[in-house]
Amino acid sequence: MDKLEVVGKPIKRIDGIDKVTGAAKYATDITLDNMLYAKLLRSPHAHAKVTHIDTAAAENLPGVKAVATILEVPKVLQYWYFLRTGKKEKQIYLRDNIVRFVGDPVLAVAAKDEETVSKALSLITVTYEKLPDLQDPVVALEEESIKIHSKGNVAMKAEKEFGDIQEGFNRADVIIENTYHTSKQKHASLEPIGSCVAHYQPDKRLTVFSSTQLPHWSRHYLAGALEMPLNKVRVIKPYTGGAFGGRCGLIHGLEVMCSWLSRKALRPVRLSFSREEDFIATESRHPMIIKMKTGATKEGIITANDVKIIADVGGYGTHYIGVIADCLSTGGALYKIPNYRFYGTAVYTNKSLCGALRGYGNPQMNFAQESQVDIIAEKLGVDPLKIRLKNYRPKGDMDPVLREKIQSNGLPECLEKGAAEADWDAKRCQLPGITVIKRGIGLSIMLHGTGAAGALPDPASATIMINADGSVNLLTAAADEGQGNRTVLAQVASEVLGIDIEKITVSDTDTAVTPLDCGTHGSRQAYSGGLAVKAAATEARNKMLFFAAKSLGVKQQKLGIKKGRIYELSDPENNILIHELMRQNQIGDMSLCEQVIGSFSGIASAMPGYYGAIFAEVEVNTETGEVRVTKLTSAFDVGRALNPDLVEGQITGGGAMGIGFALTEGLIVKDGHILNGNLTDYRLLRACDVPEIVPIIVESNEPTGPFGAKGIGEGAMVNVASAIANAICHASGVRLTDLCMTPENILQKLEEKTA
Amino acid sequence: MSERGYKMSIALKFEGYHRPANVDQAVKILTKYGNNAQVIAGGTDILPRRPGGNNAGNGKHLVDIVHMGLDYIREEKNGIYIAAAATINSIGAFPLFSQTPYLALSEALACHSTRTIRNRATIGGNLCNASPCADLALPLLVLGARLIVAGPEGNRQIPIQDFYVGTNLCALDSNEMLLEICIPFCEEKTGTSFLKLGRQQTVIDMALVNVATFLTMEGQCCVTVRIALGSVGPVPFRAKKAESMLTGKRPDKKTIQLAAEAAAEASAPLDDIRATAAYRKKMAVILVRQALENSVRRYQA
Repeated sequence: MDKLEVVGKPIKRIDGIDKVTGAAKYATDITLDNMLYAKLLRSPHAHAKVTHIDTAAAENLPGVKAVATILEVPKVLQYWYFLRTGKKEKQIYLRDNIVRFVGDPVLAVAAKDEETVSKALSLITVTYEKLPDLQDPVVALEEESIKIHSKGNVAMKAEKEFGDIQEGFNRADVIIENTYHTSKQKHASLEPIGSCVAHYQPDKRLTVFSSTQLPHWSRHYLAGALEMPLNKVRVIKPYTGGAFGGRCGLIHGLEVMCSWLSRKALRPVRLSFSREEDFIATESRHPMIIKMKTGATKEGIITANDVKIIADVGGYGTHYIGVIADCLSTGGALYKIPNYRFYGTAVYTNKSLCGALRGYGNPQMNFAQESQVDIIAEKLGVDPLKIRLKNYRPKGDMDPVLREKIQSNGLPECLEKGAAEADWDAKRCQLPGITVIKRGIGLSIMLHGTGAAGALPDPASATIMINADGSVNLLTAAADEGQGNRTVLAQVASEVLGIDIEKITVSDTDTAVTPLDCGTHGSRQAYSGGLAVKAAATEARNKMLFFAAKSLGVKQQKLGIKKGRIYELSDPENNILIHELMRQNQIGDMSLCEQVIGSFSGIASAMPGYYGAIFAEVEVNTETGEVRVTKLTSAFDVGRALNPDLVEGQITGGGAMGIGFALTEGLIVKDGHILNGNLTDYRLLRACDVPEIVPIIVESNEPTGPFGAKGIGEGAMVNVASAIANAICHASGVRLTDLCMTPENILQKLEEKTA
Repeated sequence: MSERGYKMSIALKFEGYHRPANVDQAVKILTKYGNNAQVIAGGTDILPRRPGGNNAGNGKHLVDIVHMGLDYIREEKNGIYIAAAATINSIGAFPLFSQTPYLALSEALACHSTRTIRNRATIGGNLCNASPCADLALPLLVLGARLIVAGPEGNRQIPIQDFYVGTNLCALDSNEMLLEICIPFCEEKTGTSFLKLGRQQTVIDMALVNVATFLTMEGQCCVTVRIALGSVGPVPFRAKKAESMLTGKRPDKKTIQLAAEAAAEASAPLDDIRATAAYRKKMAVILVRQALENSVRRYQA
């Protein structure tokens, strides 16, 4: 292919104008004729049995049209790995009378307006039999008399060893062991998680508008929960105000409950969670206790890593299998540590449920492992940058978990460019200073997988239809949560077809129109979605060339396309405009009447890792314990930046989210109640709090990716906290092992140090 | 046993909205509705409240005072008068407050919320909301401000140290409203300072601890010392014992440290989700010490 015209350019977002003018419609903006409004009644108890529900008074209230309770409506658990067989799928749906956390939905009411719903809810009496609850995962692990789920409190145990861990420690000159705790971070997307409109029609078709990341799997879960055929369920994803994993599946108590009400009332129903409901009752990051023992030779070669993780799943399991697996696959593959042992345990507690959040299990694992590597470097007196270069797993090596050969790895370049921008060598040698404010710099690296080909069912599909005027309809279910993947996919189509991006329309995300796609998770859409669009566009391109060849009297291989014109490579004067050719094919030639359609459905050939190095600069106030991050330099190997502006947006946003994870965020739970479930008390960074973040794009050209691309979305936040922890240690000499890192924690460690 | 589930949040609802044209009308409305009336100016405290919160104000009659000409700031012969509905930014722009004696006030104004909110938020709101962490209360406490209050019987004056009765509770009767604040002129060299500690990495936050100090000297010794602390007790307060430890003394490092410790000793902070009481107390020492050091430096400059 010629020099790239559209890919690699900072093309403006195709949805930008809709968003800034307010024309974009989000799920809560959707109002249908005769629509009812619904609300949930949530459990005030962390663990209880619902013994009786009296809805008579509510149902007699004029305007109330339907009531649905957990006694009839199933909860949807687990994730799409369980859709692989009908037998496994049955495990997804749970119908019982137990509430397992404060805020767990008990029932929902639909009525003509919100006031009537509130009134109706106040008329309902729910009788609970309180059960003893478990808040501490370590206690839950041992406790046998209290069972959160019928099979007990252990959701899963995973064990994996490669090499010989004992031999690894035998060879080590230095062995360190530490325990890390990570927090219950919340997505806190701009649009609260949990808004949908369901419309069940008398002819037994269900249409659901929901801000989901996975429209096709959502359709599958809904069909299962409501016992409907897939073709009768239609999921439409409108514009979404951010997701970060919070919409990775059906939302607890949302779509199923809403659809159930609509089926009962035979009217459209809207159910939207408030910000407070988002905080207390939708998924969060799995808090983890990570015990890690690491050994290295005096030359700084890491010989063994022994990892024990306890993950707090909360009241219901959704993504814990994937999250635990992610800890292993990212931790085990980043470094070429020959002896690695991994125990992962996921435990239920009576807290709000956990699920997917940007990075999956990687930010937790990375915080522990990258802290360990820095501690070893310090013990050995090795430069933290050099110890990483000595131990990272380069291109050409086998990934020990995925058993795939690493085909691209730009880590050395990330480290080199990041170090130059951050002035690493000079700043690392500087003394912290004699005032109460100590300055320091730290770094960390990360690996994250792109997509989940081979690990999960991970389909991607696209259809390209070329119209009689040369414009294009691209049909894709690749859900855009705000990161801009619709724009990137349009760029890929434009590049391959040789048609201006202005002439390409990307479809709504609608399961009735767009073919099967796994959805937006795992940093996959530029890669997997990009591959599908590239394949579909290539098919359409070849069909266009076939027709052009006939028209121009030249062999297909001798033709090129540029700016909407198909021309003979050796004689560009011999050409035809695409729109003329398409009109002729579709309408003009009544013996032909054929539209050029290209399509693809399938799976990517790999799950390539993308890499990043972050350099954090901090100031630690040794009197107040406050940390201030003054600059982040984030260098990421994204294979190829299909749209550099959007990549930089991801890196910068990930930086801000990562600083929050490190210093300010995390839900505080006391006796099962979330104490900071609002945006005043749950402290996200605001624009004015975010320090300078310098994004650096490194392009290693991933051979399996579209135009060399791989992921970026999650990775940008993964190693921020570890880089900050390492910088704090450089500045103040104290090592923090718990997230978020608080001033009180720092002061305590400083006091212990001087004592 | 039966209980209602989680309360849903919906927008606050009010029974009535009143827009008096002058103080007489406002006082009449307040008298009519008594405890059921709520004065509103910028609305930045009232409108974001959620139903079910501590002082949500559901069902109340809002009495909007922003159309009564209460937005002046003027110098008179016995002090500077700031009207209750003057916005934070307009006060910050008043030239006199950038002079040394009033730096504590301008520093507090600059720490108050965000620039955008400061265009709406008013000094009266910040005081009458009676939050223990109100930033403006502290400079006004050390500057010895007096509050002029209108009621059915006419106006009366309340010294600011008597204004705070309890958390979110001020000395206004239900038929009274704050009219203006009078800040007496300070001696030219007075050294004042305001400091605030929020959560780390945040530029804008409610205070975990905030303090203001005021200091005049004669020769090497302190003459008048005032220290006020916020967010570490039910109301913002003056630490009188600490003040007396510096009065007549040289403000050397040790004396300042002891006074700062005494000031913190007078506090009674609570544990909450943002910080522990122990941490707040520890930080109160540091902030008072730094503010006193600033005050001395500014006096001597």
